[in-house]
Amino acid sequence: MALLQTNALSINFGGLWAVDKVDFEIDNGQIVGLIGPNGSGKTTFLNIVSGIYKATQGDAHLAGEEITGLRPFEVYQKGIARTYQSSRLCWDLSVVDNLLVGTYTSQTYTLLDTIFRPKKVNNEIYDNLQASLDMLSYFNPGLIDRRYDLAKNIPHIDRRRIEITRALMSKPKVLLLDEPTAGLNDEETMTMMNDIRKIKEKMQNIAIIIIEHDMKVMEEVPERIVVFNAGAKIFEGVYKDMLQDKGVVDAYIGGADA
Amino acid sequence: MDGFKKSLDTALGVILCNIVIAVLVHLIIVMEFVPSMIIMVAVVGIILVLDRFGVVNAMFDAFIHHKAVAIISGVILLIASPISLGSQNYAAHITTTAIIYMIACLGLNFQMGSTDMTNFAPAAFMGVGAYSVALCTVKLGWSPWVGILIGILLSVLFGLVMGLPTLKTKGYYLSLVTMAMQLAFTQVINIMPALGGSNGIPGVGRFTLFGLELYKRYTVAGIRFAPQIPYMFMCLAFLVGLTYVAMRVYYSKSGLSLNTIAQDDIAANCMGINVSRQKLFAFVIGGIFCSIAGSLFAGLDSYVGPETYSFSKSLMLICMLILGGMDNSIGIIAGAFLLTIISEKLRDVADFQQLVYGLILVIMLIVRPNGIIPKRVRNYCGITKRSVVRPAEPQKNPAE
Ligand SMILES: Nc1ncnc2c1ncn2[C@@H]1O[C@H](COP(=O)(O)OP(=O)(O)OP(=O)(O)O)[C@@H](O)[C@H]1O
Ligand SMILES: [Mg+2]
Repeated sequence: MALLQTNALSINFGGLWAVDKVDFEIDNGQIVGLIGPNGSGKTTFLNIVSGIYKATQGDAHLAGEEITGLRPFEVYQKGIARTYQSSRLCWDLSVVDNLLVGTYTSQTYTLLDTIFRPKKVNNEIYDNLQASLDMLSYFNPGLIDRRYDLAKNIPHIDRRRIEITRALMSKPKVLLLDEPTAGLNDEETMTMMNDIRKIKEKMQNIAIIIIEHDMKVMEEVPERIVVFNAGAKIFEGVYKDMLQDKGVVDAYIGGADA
Repeated sequence: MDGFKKSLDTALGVILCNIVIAVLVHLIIVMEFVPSMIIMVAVVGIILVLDRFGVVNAMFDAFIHHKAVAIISGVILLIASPISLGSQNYAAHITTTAIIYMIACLGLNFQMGSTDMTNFAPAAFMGVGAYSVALCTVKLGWSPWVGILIGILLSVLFGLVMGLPTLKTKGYYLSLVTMAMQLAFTQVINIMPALGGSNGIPGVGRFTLFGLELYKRYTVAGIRFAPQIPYMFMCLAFLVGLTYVAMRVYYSKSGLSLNTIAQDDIAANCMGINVSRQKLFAFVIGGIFCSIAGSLFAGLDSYVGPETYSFSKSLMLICMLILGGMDNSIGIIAGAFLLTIISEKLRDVADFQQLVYGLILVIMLIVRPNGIIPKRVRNYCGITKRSVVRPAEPQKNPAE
């Protein structure tokens, strides 16, 4: 069984099948690209997998364990972390705090420790702080100097990096990236593409699902592509074959018309 | 200004800061209404101006850098402050009241400041603690200490009961639920004769410690101290202990998770934070703080009544938090202090009290919506004492 596997995963929003019987799988160390016209259900698919929405039908398994019906924080604890199409950083918290939230589950102390064993707790916070700053500097060392700045004062691409770092802090088995290059210019998109490759170098076993509209990214980063249209999976395979696929071409032309 | 900030950031600067604060606090407490108000307004004005130049932040940093010195000199001044009030009954009374409200506000902050859930029922939580002490001492003849413990247990229950419906609601609806709880609390007390009804319960037992009466006039070294002074020491001890707890929680993953929930509860949920549990935690721990404050209040007044723990008391506590600044223990303590002094000194013109609260709120929301000493960015070098940046790395700005 694959690392993450969904069987006929579906969700119905008031009569509309936003995700329609999707069979999907991804294994350790793979990068899979997810594309499709606007409103084709890509984000909704990730939302079901991460537990924000409850699947109407079908199921999802992570490493053989059923995760359908789990609440988001439980899915996260099982090893699925994500970023969002429009950033969900905490604007009024500092960069450091945003990263530390990512280590919430790896900090093991209890409330009583917080009060009665300050040394132990402080050391643990310190270790996690250092680990997150190490990880952040792996993407952009310049951000270390801005660690006490509020997230809302950080440039767009660096916010994305902070969000990705935050997601990586729990050492997830699967990372879900929802349009990591949205709102970036061409040059920044290239940088972001490099960053995603860097994740793979650092964590060889991590599986990454990446939603992306940028065809250049899709050509170079993922090893396999899944295409959604109107909630259904209409194609799965390598980039080259996708360009030739009649269903995909029709969907995109149809989507452009609409 | 930079030179001034530099000189603040020394052991001597920190000690002087502490002394200046202590003297100002003392003056505000003991002066007559008018001069006291003048000093108060001047102090707030100066704080706001200094903050423009970053001096308030520099002060916080200095205190973090010289933590040991700050704590030792602070403790000495804290011990000296009740003694300095000597035989002044009234000053001792309002100071003790202020300390109790500080504890309640620290509790309320877990919900309002950290998690952004407006709780209109902190006075009801105080009432739980107060009535526990009153019933234990008056009806059962037990020690008020048992009352405090029972109050804590009941406030945990009350926190859970209040927290559960609020898990499903947000924003205004959540506030309405807490408001309903507060009103229900007052109603229940009013209609239950066993709880003293609207007349309340007089003659609540005073606290004793190892046989030592804590509310009694003692004469030491020829000075006839006010009867509240020993009790004030006990309340101060509670305040110091609970401030420590509040600050530890603030810096821990729990405090951070509450802030995250306030900013974006879906993102919090997707980062492994059990949002429902943490919200309940905010209600329960805040409730415990308020309940302890209520128990102490019952011991000070030796009386409990529904009016003392009514909706308008809740509004006062909320006002204190807004005035002082949310999610910053020092700001909260300052806010509770200032508003207690104002309202206690306005006792003679009680009709004006509500008006003054309203006025303060309106002015604050216009001039400084975040409070006098607003929330700061968490500075971890205070708790880790080491630089978090690896030394090997190139550093443009090695300020830590
Ligand atoms: N909570 C919801 N309630 C009702 N309908 C929803 C909800 N969330 C999504 N939808 C609908 O589901 C469909 C799929 O939306 P989704 O956001 O998953 O598309 P997408 O593929 O991510 O598109 P985009 O490329 O624009 O991000 C859309 O028609 C949308 O209107
Ligand atoms: Mg989307």
